[in-house]
Amino acid sequence: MLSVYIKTLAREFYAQHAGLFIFLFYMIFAAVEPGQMLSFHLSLLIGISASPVILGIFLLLFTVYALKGFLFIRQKLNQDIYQFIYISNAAARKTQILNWFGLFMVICLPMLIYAVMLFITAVLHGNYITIVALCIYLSGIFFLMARMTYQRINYQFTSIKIPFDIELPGISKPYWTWPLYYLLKEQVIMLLICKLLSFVFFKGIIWAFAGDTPDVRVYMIAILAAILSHTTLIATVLRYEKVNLSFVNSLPLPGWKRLAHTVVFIVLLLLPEFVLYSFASGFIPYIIIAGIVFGVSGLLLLRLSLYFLGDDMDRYLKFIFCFFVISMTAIIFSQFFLFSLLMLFFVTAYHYYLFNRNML
Amino acid sequence: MAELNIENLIKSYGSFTVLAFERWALKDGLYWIKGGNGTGKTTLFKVIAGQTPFDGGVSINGISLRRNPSLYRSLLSFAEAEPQYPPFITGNELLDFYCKVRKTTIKSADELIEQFKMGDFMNNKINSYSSGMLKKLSLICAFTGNTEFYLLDEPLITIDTASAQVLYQCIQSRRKEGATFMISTHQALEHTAVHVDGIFEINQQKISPC
Repeated sequence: MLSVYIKTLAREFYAQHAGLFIFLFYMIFAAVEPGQMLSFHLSLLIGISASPVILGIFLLLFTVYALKGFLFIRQKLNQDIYQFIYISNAAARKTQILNWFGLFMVICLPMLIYAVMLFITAVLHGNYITIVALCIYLSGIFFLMARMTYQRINYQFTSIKIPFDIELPGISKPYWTWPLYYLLKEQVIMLLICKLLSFVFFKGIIWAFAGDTPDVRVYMIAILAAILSHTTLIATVLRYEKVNLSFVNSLPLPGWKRLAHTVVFIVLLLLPEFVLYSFASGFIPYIIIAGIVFGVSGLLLLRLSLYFLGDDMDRYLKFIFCFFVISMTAIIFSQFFLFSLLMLFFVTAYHYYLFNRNML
Repeated sequence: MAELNIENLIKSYGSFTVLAFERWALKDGLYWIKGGNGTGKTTLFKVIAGQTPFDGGVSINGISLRRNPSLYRSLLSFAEAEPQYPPFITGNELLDFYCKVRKTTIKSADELIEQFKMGDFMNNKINSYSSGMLKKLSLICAFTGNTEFYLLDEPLITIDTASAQVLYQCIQSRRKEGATFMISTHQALEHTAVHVDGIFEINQQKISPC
């Protein structure tokens, strides 16, 4: 059972969160000079294992990551294509829980590897509180997620209370707000975690690259981090639109209006990041415009790429990696504005191509 | 009066070709499209509605879907077999969207809402609707505004007999105004309620009269 879970659920999780992992990798390894990397991480591990406060922050980050993975699995289990997983409820309770335990360990592998290194550091330095805390926390969180998933698989007939079910005001909802309402009504935890990660990455990049003189490229990398934090969310919204808004395709809505609706949605989605970015960059109009154009065109490109890639998450992962490399190159060589305009031109042309082919 | 023209149509899903024919034209009238499950009726409707990519050309009254997609779509109205809408919006919010796109007022749909007995539910969220109510909402949306060409994919499934009679009345009144209808259904259309001008069947990727 576990191998099936890994080949399907875990594989899709890693593919959809490629952007996040690229940035995690970048933050952990590339933000430090190569010569100092080993000593930096050794000091960091010793610091975490010696201080209960820093250990608490580490475990909090682990929890956020684990929650993201848990919700991802929950969401997948609600989809028709994953209904075959429910056959597993015929297996013994212990077998089921162990398999889910294993899956969540695979899902949390990047954090788990760091936790194991932390455990070894704590053993070597005799930090027994850290050893005990890590053992209790890791076994506890994996068991909890496995137990809750087991509950979901075996007790579908019990009613579920939706957490954070926001009752939105009863005002009329115009068409262009429907994707936002979808996120606020049906993907609220995913949205919150996405925003939390985006914020952490955004501030982390600015903190990691802060110099004596302000450099616009640092803010652009922060915007790139925000774009990559939204890769899963944008794919989820598109999937919803393809199912629930397909009827719009037969209505006389011009192509420019369809594009405008999507742009407005993306601007609203990235609004908190744009506000942060404007504060960080000191409200210089040119820099603000460049950041907004880059953010909007980047997310539009990722969204439209899913039409081209046909929802193939492996290819989406490769596309995200290429997007990251090309964007970083454009930013490092200070060509981000030209790059953003080129992206905007390309996505507009591709949008009209899809529209005229009845694919939008 | 609306005339439909389809030329050199090829519609495939991957390597599987569902529809392939050179030419098919419809003049003013009401047409019943028949065919077993999986023969391509819904695909044909989606092609005409501009909801799915295909090779070939489709036009209504000489207005091509490829060359003038917005104007083409303003001429037709499509009610899907299994309509899906955002569950968190109300029936009125959906109808309001249709009215704005079709440049008509929500008042114009009042009679339809009353006839389909949906008045008490239009302010409820769609996730509270039964499949029959969802179907009636899709028919209300389809008949709102004045279009010349109606595509009704399995309009009789899930609705009650009283609503079926309302549907027949709607079809009759729009037919009198000169609208053309293409209807697919596994159930027999009541010949006393509507006059069928032609019956077509999809078989082996082709469409032919039967």
